[in-house]
Amino acid sequence: MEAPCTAPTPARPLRRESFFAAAILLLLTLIAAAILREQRRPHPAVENFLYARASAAAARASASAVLLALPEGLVALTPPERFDRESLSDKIDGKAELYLAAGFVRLDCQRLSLAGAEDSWIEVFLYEMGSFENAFSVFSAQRRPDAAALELTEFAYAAENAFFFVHGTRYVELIASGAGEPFTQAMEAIGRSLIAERPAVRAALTERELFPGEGLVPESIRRIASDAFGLAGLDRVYSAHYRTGGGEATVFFTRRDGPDQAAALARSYLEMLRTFGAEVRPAEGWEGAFRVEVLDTFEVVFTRGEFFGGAREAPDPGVALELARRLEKRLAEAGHAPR
Amino acid sequence: MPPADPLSRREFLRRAARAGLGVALAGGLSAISFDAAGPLGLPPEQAKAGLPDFSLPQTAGRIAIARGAERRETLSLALRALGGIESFVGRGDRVLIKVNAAFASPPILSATTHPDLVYELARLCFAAGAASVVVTDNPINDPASCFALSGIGPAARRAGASVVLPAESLFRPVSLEGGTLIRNWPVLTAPLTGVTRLIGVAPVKDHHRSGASMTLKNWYGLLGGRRNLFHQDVHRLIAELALLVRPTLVVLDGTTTMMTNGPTGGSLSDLRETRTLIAGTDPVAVDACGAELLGKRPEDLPFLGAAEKAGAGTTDFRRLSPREVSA
Repeated sequence: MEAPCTAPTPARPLRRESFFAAAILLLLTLIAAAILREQRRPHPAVENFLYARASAAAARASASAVLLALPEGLVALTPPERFDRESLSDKIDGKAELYLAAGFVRLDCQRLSLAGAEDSWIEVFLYEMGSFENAFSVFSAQRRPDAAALELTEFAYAAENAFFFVHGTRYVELIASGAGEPFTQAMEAIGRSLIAERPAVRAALTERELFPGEGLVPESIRRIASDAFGLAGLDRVYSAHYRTGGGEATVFFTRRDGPDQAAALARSYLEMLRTFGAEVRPAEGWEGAFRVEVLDTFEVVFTRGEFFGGAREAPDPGVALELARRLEKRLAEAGHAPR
Repeated sequence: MPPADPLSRREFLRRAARAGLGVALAGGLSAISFDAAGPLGLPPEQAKAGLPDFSLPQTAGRIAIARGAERRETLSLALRALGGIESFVGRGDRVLIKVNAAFASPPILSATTHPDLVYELARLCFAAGAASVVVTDNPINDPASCFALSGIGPAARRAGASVVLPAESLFRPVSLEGGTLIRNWPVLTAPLTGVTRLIGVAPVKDHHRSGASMTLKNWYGLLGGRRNLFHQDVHRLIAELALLVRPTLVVLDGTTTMMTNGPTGGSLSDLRETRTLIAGTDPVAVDACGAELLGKRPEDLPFLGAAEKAGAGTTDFRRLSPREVSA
């Protein structure tokens, strides 16, 4: 006899199968919720300052390492940072070019705050420039006029809110978030600590002696590391500002590897000036020197041995000639032969 | 082991319906979660073309120069001279304020947008009915430190605005049509999404590479990636930025001008009290006017001429008949 045609009763799932099924469903639900949460998060534009505060707090929390032995009354506000030639612009943006052209090696920096006053802080910038001359280049290029001299090192000055100085091969900036006696005292302490911790050979700017003394504006001596006066290849130039009875002008010189190189550089310089419409002619009564008139100013340039120099931006040819003559005389007095 | 029960038709249909529902749910969730823009690193042809134009035709060519020492006051005066903040921001607008928060330096150094201006501008936007105000920048230094130490972050929050700190996910590749530098370059676009008004606020600064940093250079802060590469051709870059970003309004703060050692400065002796605030809808004209605070002419700043030539505005700001007001 044929069995009756009835629908079979489905088998009940085992307890274990039910458990795993529920677990998988729960897991899928959690994944879906996480995806939804991530994708439906408020638009990035509503990221708010809480994140900034959290990051700043985290940075402060990790500020255990310090750049220097902290003088009393100072605490680390942020961890030390280091920048190399590749990353320097991440710290100082467009000003990086100034340092890179001068031989920059690395920058170490850190913010320190006055103990108990987190809003009162000083940022320490230690620029390793590779040589004293390079450090002096960036120091002198940025020297603020009318700044107060500092006794920290031979090349140091203070602004209302900052200290700037050269120490060995380093150029150092201490920049405070405000002005006033507590900041000044703290910067002095930091400066002394840095110098004590990092002994350096006391460097001398021997080129200073080559500038004629009369009319020289104190603290105007500058070393231009590269592309001086807009001429590629005109590097390692020392310049200084002069005030004379006839007007103001700039005196400059650069020492090359030999007389031929100095002469070649002088030719390039004059050629560049000609492209700007300068009128160049031999200086009267001075063999090998040239008088230049360009953009309503006057220059006299010359070579002496391995030196190329002169006076520029003078209001009349007499001032340019007088200053150039005095520079040449000074070079002669210093024992630098004509050839 | 007992043989498995044969599957009934009803049971088959029920299970098939369940499976179908599961697939539909998964597909639906995927559709909701789908990121159409995709990650960074898109091929060039998928880079976003340009940015939205936030300028308003009815306010074109307006410029005002306000003189005074107190920023909140001069801002109000300048805006009033331009027709009031209501000319630029209306009820329900979503405003983005692009500040210069480039450095983690204190407000007294004037290397960044002054927090008083950020506060007042955000406050005025809300007073005009703005639904939201967001403040952003992609700083040179660590973003959190920049917004905190410059005072911009706290000022924005005090006014009720949000601050967007740049994160990699907020950048998208953008190409400027006809541009030679801004090609498939990461730009901070996410904060611009949904925004109806864009206002740039920048200080007047000397700049070692470009000669000056003002409202046009301020858009550099929207760029991501290794943007320092652009320093070699900074004037062309700024001109391209002038074409890429068409703001509703720009505010140039020359209350204190960084005359030397920019863009970072560092010393109070780098600054001069020039007591001038310039606001306008033509950023080229505003910057040309601001150049005078640095003792420069528009011809001294090649990016201004390049921007003008490209059609981004005029360097002859006097032709726009600037409204001059004093506190």
